Formats: sequence, structure tokens, C-alpha cells
Amino acid sequence: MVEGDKAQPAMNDGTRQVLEAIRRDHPDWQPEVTRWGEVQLRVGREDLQAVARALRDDHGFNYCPSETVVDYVKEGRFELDVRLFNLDTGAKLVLKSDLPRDDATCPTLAGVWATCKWHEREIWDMFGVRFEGHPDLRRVFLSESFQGYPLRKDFVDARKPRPRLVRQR
Amino acid sequence: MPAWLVTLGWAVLKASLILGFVLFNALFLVWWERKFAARIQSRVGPQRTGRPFGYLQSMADVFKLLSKEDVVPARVDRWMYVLAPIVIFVPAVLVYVVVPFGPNLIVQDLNIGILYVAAVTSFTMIAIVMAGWAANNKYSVVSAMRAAAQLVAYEVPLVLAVIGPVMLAGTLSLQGIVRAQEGLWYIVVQPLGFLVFLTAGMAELNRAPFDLSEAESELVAGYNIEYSGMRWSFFFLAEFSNLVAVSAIATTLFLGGWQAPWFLPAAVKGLIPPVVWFLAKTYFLVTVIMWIRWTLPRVRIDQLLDFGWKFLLPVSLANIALTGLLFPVLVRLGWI
Amino acid sequence: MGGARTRPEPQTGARENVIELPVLAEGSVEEISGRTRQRARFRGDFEYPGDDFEGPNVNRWQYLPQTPPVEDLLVEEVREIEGNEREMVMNMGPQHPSTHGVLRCVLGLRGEAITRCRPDIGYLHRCHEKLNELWSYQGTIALSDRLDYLAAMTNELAFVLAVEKLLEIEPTERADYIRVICSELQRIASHLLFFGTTALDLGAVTPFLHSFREREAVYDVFEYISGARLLYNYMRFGGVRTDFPPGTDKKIREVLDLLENRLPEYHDLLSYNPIFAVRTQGVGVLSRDDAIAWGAAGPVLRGSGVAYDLRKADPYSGYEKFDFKVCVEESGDVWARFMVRMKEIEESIKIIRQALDGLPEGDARGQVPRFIKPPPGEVYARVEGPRGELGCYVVSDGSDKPYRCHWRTPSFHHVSLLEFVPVGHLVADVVAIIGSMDPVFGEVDK
Repeated sequence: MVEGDKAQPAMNDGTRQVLEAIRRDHPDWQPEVTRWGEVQLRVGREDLQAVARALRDDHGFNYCPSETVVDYVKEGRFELDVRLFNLDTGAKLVLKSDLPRDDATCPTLAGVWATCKWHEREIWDMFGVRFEGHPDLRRVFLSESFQGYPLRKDFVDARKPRPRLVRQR
Repeated sequence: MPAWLVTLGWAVLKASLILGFVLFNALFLVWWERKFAARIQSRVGPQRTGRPFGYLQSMADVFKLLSKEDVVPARVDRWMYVLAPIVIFVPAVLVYVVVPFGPNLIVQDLNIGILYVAAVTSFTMIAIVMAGWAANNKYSVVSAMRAAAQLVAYEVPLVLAVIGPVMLAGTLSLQGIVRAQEGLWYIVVQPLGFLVFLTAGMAELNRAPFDLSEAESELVAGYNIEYSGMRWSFFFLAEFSNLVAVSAIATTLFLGGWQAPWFLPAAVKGLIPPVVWFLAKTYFLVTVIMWIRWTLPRVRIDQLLDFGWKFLLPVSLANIALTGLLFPVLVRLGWI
Repeated sequence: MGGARTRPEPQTGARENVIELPVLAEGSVEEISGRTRQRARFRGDFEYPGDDFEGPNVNRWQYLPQTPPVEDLLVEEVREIEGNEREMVMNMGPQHPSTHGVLRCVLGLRGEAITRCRPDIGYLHRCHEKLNELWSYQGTIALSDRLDYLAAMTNELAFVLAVEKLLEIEPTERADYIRVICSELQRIASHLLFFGTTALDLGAVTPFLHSFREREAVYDVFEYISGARLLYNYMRFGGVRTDFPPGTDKKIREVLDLLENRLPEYHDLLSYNPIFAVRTQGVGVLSRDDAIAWGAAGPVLRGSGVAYDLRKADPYSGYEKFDFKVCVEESGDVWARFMVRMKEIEESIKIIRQALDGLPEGDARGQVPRFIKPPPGEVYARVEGPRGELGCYVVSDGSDKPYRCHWRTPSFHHVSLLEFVPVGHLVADVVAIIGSMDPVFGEVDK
């Protein structure tokens, strides 16, 4: 939800500084400001690792609370959503990237924030987005032999209902 | 009646008395520990089976255990698995052979009584290692290894702590040690030895804070993880039997055994029979050990071994040296 | 050690162990699966009755609560490393008394020292995020209780805050105060449980029961407020479900007084016990950098010396009005994480007192229609739960159900820390470390 004019976003100081720094250092990144006072960057997946590394090293985004994927099945894309936080200044940033559904791969962020290792395992488990270069891409909740990715919108549970071992009355 | 028959008759009678005592102990102590722990933990404990204090709870437990299926897991080392409960139970009963319950109430007053106790109690650990190994379970193997390390670390200070009273009394017979304490209990002149004995004794018993070999939060249940029903209850019986045995030995060595407190006037001493004194002191120590168990967290195996080798062993050696130095003084004072 | 012996080979296809179950009545298994007889083998692999379904895309193992293979670590019992050294692989959990639910740790052991640790989760997976997409917004409040079932209030709060942002409504001031009180009471209850389970993990049973005694008192308050003791379903969009019933103020203050009296007792019993100190100090050290990089949150992060508390860093529900400290410990070990939580109980008591003193009059229930359809958009709301940053990411497509709902659960990341924190410690320390992370498997496995 990108807002420009309608409401004044309640940005905190850290976020404002980061926004200025990004506009100054990286004019091609096109930062936006969300309704909730977060800087939002939308990057192509090929730039993802470079941008993430720059955000961590140059802008102090050392903490990644959340990384997830939304399945926009009608538009044929997954949207990667990475929430970043600067523990020292309180700056908030959202990193977005579109992944085509028919080629659901993405460069891994596990080398940038170690916590993404498990975030990405969860995404792989639930959405089947393959993270290139991930050190340990196993399913995290479901068993390895589970077929399908349950949080995809087109997931159909192909299993027959479980038989019930109860005597009929 | 031929003499051998008399001997045999006495032996059977004594054996059954001891066995009865051990079993009764277990019944009573299970109930007592549950009630006591409950009070410490601000609960009420069992109270339904045998109102109003739940005194039939242990009977109910016994019937439950008796009626359980005898499960032997598929891949155990069968012989050792079957033997371990017996091996742990036998020495637990054998200890009572030399325990003086009263002036004449003793199965056999061996002149090497205290050595006998040290030898027999060590068997417990062999049984634990057997059980841990036989069960074919990794937790129980780790538990058995811990038990073995613990045995070596604590057997030594335990025996060294015993030397103090032996030096003072000048005899290895438990009955002799008790008689020597008529004037003064040895806890007064051997406080260090008493504490070392109690600590090492608790470690031998696998009671918290030294219950590493059955640490339920780490090793699930330790060496008896694959046992159930009656086989398990043998471990349980042995545990409580050993608990009383260690308390009884401590009473004998340091608390004057069946002697009434030395400071009481003779008239009062005569009122209460010696066996009551003995049991009262023993159960007091049992309660103290329970109290410690339900208060303290568990130590770690390396800390346990450190404590045994680097603290208890020097202290018990120092105690021996101190006893030797003070011996002439005590004799001159007329304390012993 | 254990695996060094030769084991008897498992009997394959042992028919003598097959127990024939009786044929079930018509209309049951027969119809569904086309089978006539059900077998189950005992003392061997359990064969699930539905394993020979025919149909597209059916994998028989889907039906089994099968343990996912963790690479080679599970297959081998004993691993040769470096010549004569051998490593035993031990499974801790998922059925283990002190893995706090259904955590499974695959430990590589050399003697009793840990060489590797692989946390394996998923045994309590309930498709939480999938259910969120299927349930209406109101139902999701009740569902979010089940996430971190020891801190249901803060879960609800995270979700409610997210949806309120989407709806662009503000809760009333009284509702905010009530939410703060409930969150802090929840934090106290959760930390009390942590105190008890930590004691239990370290072998002390008594502190566990003592802390549960006080926790019951807190739950009594919750019962009085919301009617439920564990899963409250209390938060609503724009407010809370019901205002405080009369007498709540007195009840809460009684509990706070009780706690203030009992906390020194806890410290006497456990916190400053020498055995407890040697068991926890210097054990499971998590460095500051690791804690940040691995996404640790809450007391685990603060125990590593990072003064990061969302109640200060990114205030919500009017936390900026209250005066409290962020509890930080520098050492990063089990002791630090323990002490952070114990101090947080005291801070929470302070916050609740302030909130009770300043509780404004007014309506606690927002004027929000029962049936809501938030405008399309997405939002990430986060609260400081007892275990750390609890984030709720909601995407709305304008319908009455969330299009996507992602939960950022702190315990999930604390479990990931177990990959490297226990290495080099003993088995007994693993238990202490797991306890100090205080994972709740409702929210780890989602």
C-alpha cells in the first residue's frame, strides 16, 4: 500500500534518515513509503542479494524479523516480503520482490541474515519457492515425502479421507 | 530338635523378618515421601485411597504394579535384563544383616561389619550398569555410564568418612560402634565425617541432587527406562531399602544407633525401648534426605565428579587426620 | 557405546507378529479403501491401515506421522570420526519430558558431549496459516489463541492490531489500557511457567509447583475477566469483548501483591541457589551478534545484551505512556535469559499498577460491525510477546477472510538457535538451553 499524498506517514526518525540515505546513495532503487511509515523497496530477484547486503552493511538493517511469500495466483506471481529492522535507530524497511510462479526460484538471503535460513526453509515447505544457494533447504514442518505446497492457492489435497477405525453403530 | 534345624529355623525367621521390614519400609516410605513432598510443594498429596490421609495409597500402587503386563522389549539383552532387578534387590536386603536395631536385635554382628556394608552396597551400581546396558536404549546406557563414574567418585569418600567412628570406637563391628557411643554420640566429635557420609551416601543412593543416573528431565528415566511392572518395582524397592539402609548406617555410626540421647536421665532412658530410638533416628535422617531431594536442583555429571574428587575426598582425608590428632585430647577429656 | 554391540537383525516380514483385526462393519473401512481385512503389525513397524490407497498423487507416507529424515544423521547409529573416535547419535524427543512439547533434537554425542545438534520440528503442525485463509477475521482471533497457547492474549493482540490498521480504526483509550493490562498479566503468567519448567529441567520439582500456584492466581484473574483460563478469545477489533467486570481492579492488585511477596521466595529457592548458578552460568552462551543475526527476540535477545523491546522500540497500544525498564543482561548464557525474565515479571507488575491507576473511563468495546471486510492492503503488526517479537502479516483482498496471514513467531527462531548453541556442552546442558529458550510448540510448528 503505497501512499504519497493522502495521509502523512508516521515515520520515525531512523526510517526518515534511511529514506534520505537511500535516495541519496541509490537513486535507482525507487524507495516508497507505506501507509505505516515503512520504507518499501521493490527489487528484481536478480538484485535481491546485492540490495540486501547493501541494506545490512551500509544502512544498518541487522535484524530480519520476517520473511515470507504471498501467492498472487491470478497475477501469476509470488511476492517475497522481507521485513527489516535496524535495532539501533529503529528504522523499518520492507523489501519486496516478485517471483514468477512458473519459475519459483529466488536467490537466498541466508548469507545475509542467518535467520533467513529458517524463514526460507518455511517458505520452501509451504510455497515451494526454491532458494538458490541455500545451505540446508529441507522442509521444516512437513515430511520430506509430502507432495505439494499447501499454502499455494492452487494446492489441492489429493489424499483420500482417512478411514476411521470405528465400529458403525 | 537337631542343631542344624534350629539354625535353619532362625535363619529363615531372621530373613523373613528383614524382608518384611524392607517391604513394610517401602510401603511406608512411598506414602511418607509423597505426603512429605506434597507438603513442601504446598499440595496435599494422596488422600483418597484410605481416607483421610491416603495411607492405603502404597497398597494401591503395589496392586497396580502386580497387575501390570510383564513387558520385555524386543531387542534387549535378555539375561541381563531379567537378572538386573534381582541383582539390585539382593544387596539392598543383605545390608540389613549387620544393622543393629537394638542391643540384641541384630541378624549377625559381624566383626568386620562396616567393611561388609561397604562391599555389599557397591553391588547396587553393578546392577544399574547391567540394567542400563541390557535395555538396549541409549538413554539407559548414558545413565549406566554416569552411575559407574558416580560410584567410583563417591565410594571412596564414603568409606573414608566411616574411618572416623571406627578409629574412635576401635572396632569394625557396628554393634561395637553403637556400644562405644553410650557416653557421647559421634556426631558431636565427628560433624565433618557425618556430613561427608550423608552427602556421599545420597550420591550412592542416586537421590537428588545427585540423581544423575535417573535424571528424568535429561535421560527420561535413566537405567530403568525399559522396565515396567514388577521388574521396575524391584528397582523401586531397592531404592527405598537403600535409603533406609544408608540412614540406618549413618544413625549407627554417628547418632548413637539404638542408644538414647546420652544427656537424658536414666529413668527416661528406660521408658523408651532402644529399637524405637533407632527407628526414630533412622526415619529422621530419611526425612532429611527427602527434604534435600525436594529442594535442590540437580548437579551436572562433571560438577558431581569435581565435587566428589576435589572436595569430598580431601575433606574426608582431613577428617581422618583431625580425628587422629584430637584422639588423645578427647580421651583426656573423657569424652570417649 | 550403545550401538557398538552387534544387534540382532530386525525380523523382516515376521508374520507371527501380525494380529488380525476383526472385519469392521459395512460402510466403514471396507467401503472407503476397498480392503477386506485390516492388519496391524506390532513389535515392528506399525503399518497404517490406509497404506495401500490407490489414487493419483497419493503417497502412503503422507498418512503416517513419519519423522522427516534429517540427512544421514538418523540412519547411522554410530559414526566413525577421526580414527578410533566414534560418535553416538541420540534422539532427544519428540517424546521426551523436557523438550517442552514435541521438539526433537538429534544429538551427536561423543561420550556425553554434544558434537552436533539438529533441531527437528513439525510434530505439532496444524496448518495454522492455511486455516487463517479459510476462516473469517473473527474466527482468526480465536484461532490465534492456539498459536502460543501460553500467551494467548498477546497473539490476539498482534492480530487485532494488524486488522485495525487495515480497517483504519483506533481502539478506545480504555480498551488500550485493558489490552496493556492483559498483555502484561499474560507475560507474568508465561514467565512464571518458564520459571517452573526451568526448575524442572534442572531437576528441582518444588519451584515448579510453587510457580504454578501463583500462575493459577493469574489465571483466576483471566477467568474473571474473560471467562476462560487459557484461550481467551478476548480481543476484538476496536476494543475488547467485554469491559472489566466490577471488582477486577481489586482482584488484580491482590495478585500483584501476592506476586511481589512470593518473588523473593522464588529467588531464595532457586535463582540464587549455588547449584542452580553453576548449572546455568556460562552455559549456552549466545553472542550478541549471533542473537541478532539469527533473529532471536525477546528475553533471549535481551539476555545477550541487546536492549531491544518493542514496547519501547516501536510502541503499540499506548505503551509509551508507561514507565518501565528494558531488562538486559550481558552474559548471554542460560542464567542471563533466566534473570531477564525474572526481572520482567517485576517490570510487568509496575506497568500493570500504572495502568490500573490510570485506567480511563469510557467504552472498552469498539463500535465495529460484526462482519468486517477490510479494504485490500497488507500490514505487518508486531507486539512484544512473552517470548519476543510476535509479528502478524495480514494481506487482505477485500473479502471477509484474510488473503494471506503470516505469523512471525519468536520460538521458531529460538529453536533454530539450537543448531549451534548446545555444541560442546553436555546432555544435561541441552535441557537447560532448551528450557532457557522457552519455546512453545504451538507457535514453533504453527
